[in-house]
Amino acid sequence: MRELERYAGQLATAARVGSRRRTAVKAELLAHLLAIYDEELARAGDPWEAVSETKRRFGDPDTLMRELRSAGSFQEWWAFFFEAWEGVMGRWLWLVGATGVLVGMGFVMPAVAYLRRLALLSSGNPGNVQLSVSLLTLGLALALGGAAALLYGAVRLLRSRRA
Amino acid sequence: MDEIGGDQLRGHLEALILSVLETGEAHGLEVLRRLEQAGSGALQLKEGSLYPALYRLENAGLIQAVWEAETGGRRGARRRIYHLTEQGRVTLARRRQEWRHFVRTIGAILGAAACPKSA
Repeated sequence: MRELERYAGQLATAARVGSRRRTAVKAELLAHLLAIYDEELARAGDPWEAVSETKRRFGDPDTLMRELRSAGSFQEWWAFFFEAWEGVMGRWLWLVGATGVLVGMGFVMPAVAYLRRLALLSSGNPGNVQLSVSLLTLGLALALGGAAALLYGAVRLLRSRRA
Repeated sequence: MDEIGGDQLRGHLEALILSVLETGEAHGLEVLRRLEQAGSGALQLKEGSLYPALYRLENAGLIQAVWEAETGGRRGARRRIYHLTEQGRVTLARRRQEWRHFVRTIGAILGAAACPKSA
């Protein structure tokens, strides 16, 4: 049974569709494969022979995969490419997030230190105050963006482990 | 009579599926059984090749599918039930007309070749 599940999964991966649709394709192909398997098992009585005959009846896997690849709609192609692109980008998300947080904090810390000193001494150059506030805003934006990227990366990781 | 296989069916499979779905909704395996029954055993179709055709028809909006409610003891494997849409019915009627025209035209030529007119 595992063999047929693997086979259905292998065929479904050829379909250039989003992951949800691919799961549906796999489930549908598996339902058909299991129905053939039951027929063949009842006829032959041998599970291995039944699996082999099931695959033969279902057709040449290369041809099927080629046909499935070309059967997707335009929207499904987009979903497929978006997910593939997201998969590649997802691997770099940790690095992008960590860099964003580090660079952001690199702006935030000196700006906070300067503004704190300014508040304590109650004096300072207005130009420097403006620059510090700008750096603080930019730094916070970068750090928050980086943290969001890190969080999204963690969610993706948990989701993929659960799947 | 020779069997009719993949290459000969190419280009006609979609219309054949529409035609068998006209008699009522069905899942993939049932569509295949209806095709085999209607073809009196002459149609030799690899069962998996039905699905790319079904997905093409679905993408074109000619058929729609819903998941069946129960697995019916098939170890959790659910099937999708396909039915013809209104657009599918219109397309089927057009494809039938085109087929009749094709058969009339080609039949006239082949028929003429098989039975040459006497001079």
